[in-house]
Amino acid sequence: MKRRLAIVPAYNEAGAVGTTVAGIRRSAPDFDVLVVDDGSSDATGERASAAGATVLRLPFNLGIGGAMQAGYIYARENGYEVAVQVDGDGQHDPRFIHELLARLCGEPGLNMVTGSRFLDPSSEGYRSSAARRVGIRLFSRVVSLITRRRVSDPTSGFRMTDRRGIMLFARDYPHDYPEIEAILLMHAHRLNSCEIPVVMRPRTSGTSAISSTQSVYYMVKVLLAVFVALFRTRPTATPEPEPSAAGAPGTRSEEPPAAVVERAS
Amino acid sequence: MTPLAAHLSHTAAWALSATSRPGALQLELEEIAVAVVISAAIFELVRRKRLMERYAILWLLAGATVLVLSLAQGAIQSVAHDAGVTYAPSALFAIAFLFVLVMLVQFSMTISRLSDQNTALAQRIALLQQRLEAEHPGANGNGAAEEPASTESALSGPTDPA
Repeated sequence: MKRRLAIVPAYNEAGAVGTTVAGIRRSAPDFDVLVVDDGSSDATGERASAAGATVLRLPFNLGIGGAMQAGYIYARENGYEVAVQVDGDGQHDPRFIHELLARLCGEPGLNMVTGSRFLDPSSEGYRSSAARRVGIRLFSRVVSLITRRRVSDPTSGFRMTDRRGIMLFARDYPHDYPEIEAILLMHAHRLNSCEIPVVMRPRTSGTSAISSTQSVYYMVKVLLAVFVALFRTRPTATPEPEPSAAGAPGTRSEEPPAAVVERAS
Repeated sequence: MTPLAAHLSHTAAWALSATSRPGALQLELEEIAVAVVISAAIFELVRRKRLMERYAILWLLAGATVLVLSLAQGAIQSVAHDAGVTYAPSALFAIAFLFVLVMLVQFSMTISRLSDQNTALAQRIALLQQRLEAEHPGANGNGAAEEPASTESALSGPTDPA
């Protein structure tokens, strides 16, 4: 059986993370659950652990990008074939995990499937505030233009990747507000992604990672990142094979000679 | 001393003939003093190992440039003249400002690199801690349970009354 992992990034989500983990285990029992506790000051790690998840405790808050990358590194090093991101705040309904999986496995050559709130206009559910939808629509246009493919919900973090996506994101993942850049990163590495309609729920606890004052910074930062990314050369090869994929093992292999030199001198 | 005196008188003569600035000599002495103080301070920081040589080089280069240009007024005057700057010392400060800009960009690059390395270290610590706890549930369960609990009480302590 293919090994599958649900990565749940959580920062001070003690109130919701237990329910999220339990929901994933109930709706998708074939998935292992990894909670990345992003330096929470509350009992997020304990609640996740008690609910039966494996917990990665980051020593301090890295932000969503660093937390997700830690999850992808875990997935890479533990040989997972499929990884799905499910936010710890309860917005992502774990019942859609198998719809994402069916699409990912059903279409050869597909590397990432994202759950979109806007793909099915008749569906109900949480669609963010009006102001944010304006921003989302702008990014949707930009990303669709660049990737030449319709991306209706570029800010959705509810996404599933195959092994190649895991390898790519473990090696290189955008820092803050990573969702939009991650789509473009996929595109730049010539990996294929698509969307399926999902229904999201309003968050059950905690506050959004993005306050209204930060949204201006968000817009500028992501637009800058998108613009700069246009000028990077697109690698023609697929993400590197496993041994050389990560920076960490590479530096580790360089350590012994340095230590020898130090000891000799 | 004689070349310096000659040089200073030359500067004064130029100053009087060109723009008639009585403060030119004083300004030049100030420039020399600034350059010497910067260089001495950087040297002292490197000597105490508070500043790595790698980052000291640009600073020392900046100090040396200010020193050389303030001593060689002829050079800065010709540079200023070629650049169309009427007030020569401002050309000196423009060059110094460029150095500061280069240094600031270097610092931003350094911060970005350190920040990336910091993230990678934090991720690696979390992964290693998880693996340690998984491999030695008995031995490390205690230690791992104690540590987050203590940081948690330390963190939640001040927030609870508030």
